[in-house]
Amino acid sequence: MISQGIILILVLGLAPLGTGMIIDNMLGPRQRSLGMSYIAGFLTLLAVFQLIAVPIVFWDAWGFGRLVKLFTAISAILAGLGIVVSMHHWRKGNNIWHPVLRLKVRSRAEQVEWLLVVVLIGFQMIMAVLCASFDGDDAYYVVQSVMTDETDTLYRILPYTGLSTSLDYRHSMAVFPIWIAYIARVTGIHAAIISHTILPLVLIPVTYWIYLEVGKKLFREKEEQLPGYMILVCALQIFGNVSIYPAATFFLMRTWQGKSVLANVVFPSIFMALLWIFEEEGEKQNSGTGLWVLLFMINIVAAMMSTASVFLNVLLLGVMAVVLAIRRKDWGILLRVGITCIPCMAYGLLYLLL
Amino acid sequence: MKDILLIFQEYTGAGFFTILYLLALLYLWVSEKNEAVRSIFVYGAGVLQLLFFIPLFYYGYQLLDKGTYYRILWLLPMTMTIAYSGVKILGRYPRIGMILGVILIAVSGKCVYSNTYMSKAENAYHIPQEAIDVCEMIMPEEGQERVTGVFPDDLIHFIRQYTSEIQMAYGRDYLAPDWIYGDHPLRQVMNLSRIPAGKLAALATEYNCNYIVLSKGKDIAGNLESQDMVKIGETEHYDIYQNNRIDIIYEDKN
Repeated sequence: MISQGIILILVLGLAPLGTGMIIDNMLGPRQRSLGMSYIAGFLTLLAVFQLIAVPIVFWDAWGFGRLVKLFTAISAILAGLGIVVSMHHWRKGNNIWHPVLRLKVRSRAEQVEWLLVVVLIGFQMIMAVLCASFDGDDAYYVVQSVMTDETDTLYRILPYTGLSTSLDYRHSMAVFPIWIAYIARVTGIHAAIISHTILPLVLIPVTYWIYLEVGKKLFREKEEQLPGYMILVCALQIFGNVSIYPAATFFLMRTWQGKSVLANVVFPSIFMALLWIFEEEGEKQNSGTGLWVLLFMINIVAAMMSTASVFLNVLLLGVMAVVLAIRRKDWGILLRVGITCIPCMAYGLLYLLL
Repeated sequence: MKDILLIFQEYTGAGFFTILYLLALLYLWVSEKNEAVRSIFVYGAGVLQLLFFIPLFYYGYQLLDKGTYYRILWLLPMTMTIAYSGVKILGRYPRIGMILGVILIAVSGKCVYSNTYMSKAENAYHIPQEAIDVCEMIMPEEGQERVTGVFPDDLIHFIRQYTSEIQMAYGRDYLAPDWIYGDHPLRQVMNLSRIPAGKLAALATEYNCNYIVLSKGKDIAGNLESQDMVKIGETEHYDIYQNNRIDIIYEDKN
């Protein structure tokens, strides 16, 4: 039990944080925070998993064991590299110990509001553990994770019945269920527990952290309004169950499914990156290369969540790039954003060809 | 266009959040000075909304992926826009404004925790405990090959979330008759109000089922025991039978 907890902290806590330090060193000075490092590392590791998992899924039916070893080694190397790079910067006299949130709390009222934000997010995390939500798609996605962990096979068994099948290329490019199986394998915790109980404890705070990063940009001149914004975001998520389709419904009822991560982590993080990049550029500030690297990673992560979603991602970035290019009369934006879309376009092409 | 409007209506439910979003968007359009925010949250999101309602765009999307058109609406930063505009408007009256904002959202929306599909978790797996109990009774022992079972509809989703060691004669893909394959012959029998024991045993054997799990109180015409079905256990709502016409296979140790 204790060893499982330690491995969970290593895999879901320290590995993303260490990896994020690589990106952190490429960010502009105003963007750096411990939270941003974690988000960047979390998304980068997911992207790396997607990059190495898809070829293994295609060419090695029994390759899950190999994938586990390879990804563990790469995660350790990236996290170690992030720490080494940060130590190097520290030795050169740069501050690597950024404030956790990079926020200033000015008054007692603001403290109370932030406390309320923490309580609201904590409430959703506790409810995610205490409440079970039924969703029919779990018979596909959660079973895919359970099967992979228990049998070592990759997408060659029908989740619904357990009978053998040929590779379903279209589903097998979105390997988020295999990543869950990876967490299950290295921790020794059942994949259904990882999906339903453990992952929401990571994905809920990560989602809110992304909203916070967006908010920091929106309210940078009136930071005292930030907790109010976060309270409204919490309320919109909790009361957003207006039908079975909105992102908010997926967020708290299907947190562990790839499409929920797509709607609640990937798309908001695209807005976060775009807002940070183009506001800094608009003010002639150096936004650093880190956010572009992050945007590239986010595009890979999008393909990991749902293969068909690559078109949504390209649509979102395409529309935003065209609007920004027209308004700024800078056609280079199309090229720069286009380059970050290369992974999605490549996966999209594969999706259409296979 | 009718299809698009239907998708939009199903997505937005009663539609109050959509009204809030449109008002928030309008407010930003009129008042937002920051060029990047304006470009991304007003013009970019506006273009995406327009695209959503264009029939040609809808037909093009259908060629790529069917049944997920509603996800275009995921691209709209609704939460950020409503929260941002809300704070800008209500922030003039900090405390009372925020309380009003939360009340407005609560009244306009629906609490996720009141959803009928939400229930108290019975265990860390978030799988009904009775499904786990059934699995534990029929799971292969050490050295045995996987077993196959047939289950009532209300257990179908959960069995293989607990273990892949149990295979199923039919799965979730048969629960919605119009979804993929139509109805399964074994399921047709399982769902009869009065199940003929001989027919059930014959079909279970044909589909290689080692176990049959029946809802308690199911009316059986005839006697399952006389069809080589032995009751090996029960839970609060289910009876579990072993089909002796299908051998449990042991793994080849060579």
